[in-house]
Amino acid sequence: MDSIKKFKTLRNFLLNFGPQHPAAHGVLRLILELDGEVIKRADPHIGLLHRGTEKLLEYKNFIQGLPYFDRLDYVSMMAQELTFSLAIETLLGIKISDRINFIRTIFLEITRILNHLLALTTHALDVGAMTPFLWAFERREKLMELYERVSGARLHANFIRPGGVTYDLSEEILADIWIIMEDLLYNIEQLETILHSNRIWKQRLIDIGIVSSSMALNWGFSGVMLRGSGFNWDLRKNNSFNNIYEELNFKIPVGSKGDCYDRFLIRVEEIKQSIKIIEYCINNIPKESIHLNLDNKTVFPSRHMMKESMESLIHHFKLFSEGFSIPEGETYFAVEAPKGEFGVYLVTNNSSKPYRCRIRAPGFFHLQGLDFMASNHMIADLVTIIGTQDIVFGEIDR
Amino acid sequence: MRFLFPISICRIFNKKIIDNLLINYNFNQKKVDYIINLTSIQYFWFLMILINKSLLLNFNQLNDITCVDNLNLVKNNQNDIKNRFSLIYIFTNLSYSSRLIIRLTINNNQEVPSLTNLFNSANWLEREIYDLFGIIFTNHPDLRRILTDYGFTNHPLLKDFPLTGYLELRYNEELKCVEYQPVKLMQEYRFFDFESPWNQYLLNTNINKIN
Repeated sequence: MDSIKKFKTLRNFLLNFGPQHPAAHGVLRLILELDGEVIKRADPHIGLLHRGTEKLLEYKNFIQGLPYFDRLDYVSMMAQELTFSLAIETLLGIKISDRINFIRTIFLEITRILNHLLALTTHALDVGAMTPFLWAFERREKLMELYERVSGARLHANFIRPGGVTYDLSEEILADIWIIMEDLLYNIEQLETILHSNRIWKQRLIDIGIVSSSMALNWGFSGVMLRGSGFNWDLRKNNSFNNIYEELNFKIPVGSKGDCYDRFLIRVEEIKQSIKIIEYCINNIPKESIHLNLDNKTVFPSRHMMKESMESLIHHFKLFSEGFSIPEGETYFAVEAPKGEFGVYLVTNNSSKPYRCRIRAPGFFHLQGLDFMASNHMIADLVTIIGTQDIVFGEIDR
Repeated sequence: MRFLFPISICRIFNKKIIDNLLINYNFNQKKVDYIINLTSIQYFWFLMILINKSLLLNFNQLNDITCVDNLNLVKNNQNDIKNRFSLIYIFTNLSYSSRLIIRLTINNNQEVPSLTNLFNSANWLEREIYDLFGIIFTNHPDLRRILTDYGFTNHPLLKDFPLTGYLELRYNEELKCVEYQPVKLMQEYRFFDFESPWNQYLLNTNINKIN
C-alpha cells in the first residue's frame, strides 16, 4: 500500500558545458539545469583565465602596464589601450594634439570593425554558416596588417600610449586604409546578402534571447546589448571622450525588440558607420606633427630627437626605466569599446605605479545576464545567446 | 534639467544628514558629475534606495562597484581597523548622461548590505569584491568566490597579499596528478620602489574627474 502513495519524483538534469567547448568562445564553464532539452538555470563558472591583471598592474609603472590592456579583450586591443591612456591623461591633465586624436579615432574604429567581424561571423559559425567566417577572417587579416604597419605587432599593438601614439602615420598608410575601407564596404554587403534574409539564420535568431529595456538597465548591460533593447546610448556621443565624435554626424543604430537578430543588424550597421567615421578622419586629419605640445616629462621624444639631443636621450632613458609619476587622485574613465562600456577606475598616489587600477569589462555584465537570457530556451539556443553576447574571456576573467 | 540634480539631492537629505555627507559636484563643460563621500554606513542603505526608486534622480544603472584597499594610503596608527577599504559605486543616468559616484569608507571586517535586491548587476560585482578583498555583503543570495580557483583561501587584491601568492600548481610526474605546493622562487621578487626625483604636476592635485 505504501508504494502506491509514493509519487514519482522528477529531478532536473544537470549538464556541465565546457570549459573546453568550441561554442563557448574560450574557457567558459556552465552548469546547466535542464528540463528535457529546455534550460532552467545556467550558472556560469568563470575565472579559468584569471591572470590577476589588476594585481600585476599595481607592480608595474604606467608604460609597462599598458600592454596588459591589449591582452584583456584580445580582439579589441586598441580600445582598451585608449581607455588606460585617457585615464592617465585625465589625471595628468595633458592636452594632446589634434592629429593624435584623429589617429586614435581611426584605430579605434578599425578595432571596432575587427571586433564586429569576428563577433558576427563566429556567431554565424556557431549557428551553422561557415562561409561568412572565412570571408571575414580574410578581411580581418588585412586590417591587422594595418596594425602591424603602425606598431609592428598584428594583435597586441601597444600603439596608443599616454600622451600620444607610438609612431606617426604616413600618407601611404592613410591611402591604404582608404582602399581597404572601400573594399570592406563591398564585403559587408556580401555578408549581409548571405545572412540578412537567410531563412535558417532568421529562424535561429529571431525571438531568441530577448532582453527587455528594464532588464538591460538593471543588469548593467552596455554597448550593443543595451542598444539592441532600444536605448540610444553610445559613449561616443553621450559621454564623448573625444571631440571628433561630436562634430561628426554618424548614426547610432538602435534595436526595437532586443532579440539576437536585432543585435546582428546593429553590429552590421556599426561596421558601416565605422567605415564612414574612418573615411571622415582620413579626409580631415590635420597635417601637423604628433610631437606638438610635447611634454617630455611624460611623453617620450621621437626616435630622431633621441639620437640628436642629449636631453631627449635622458628623457627617453628615464621614461623607460622608472617612468613618470602621477599626483594623488582618482578617476573613472570609460570608452565605448566594441563590446560595450570599457572603464578604468584609476587611483594614484604620487608614485610611478598605479595604486589601484580597476578594470570594468563589459563582457562580465553580459555573461552575468546569461542566466535570464537563456532560461526557457533550448540548449541549441544557448550557443546563439553566447554568440550574440560577444564574449571574450580575456576581459571577463582579467 | 541637468543642473537640478545636486540641489535635489541636497533637498532630499536634510541638514542633519548632510553633515555626514560631502557632496562635490563639478560642472565640467557638458558633463555633470557627482561624487558623494560617505564616511559611515548609517545612511548608505537609505541613499541606495533613494537612488534606485527616485524618479527625480533616475540613476537607473549600476555600472560598477570597485574596492580600494587603503592600507598603504592612509598613514594612521590603527589603519588596520579604521577606514581600511573604500567601496566605490558608480551609477549612470542614461537620460541625462551623467555619472554619480558614491564612495563608502568602511573598516576592516565591517559588513555591507548587498545591492542585489535593487540592482541585479551588483550580484557578480559583490561576489568579485568578496573574492578579491574579503568584504562580506549581507543578504547576498549567492556569495561564492568567482574569479579565483576552486578551493582558494586568500583574498589576492589585499595590499598585504604578496604578488607571488603562497601556493603554486604543478603537474607531478611521479604521482601523475596536479598538486599544490608552496611557492619556490629561484630569487626573491625584486621590487624597486623609487620615488621620482622629477618635478611633480602640482597644478591638479586631488583630482576627482569622471568621464
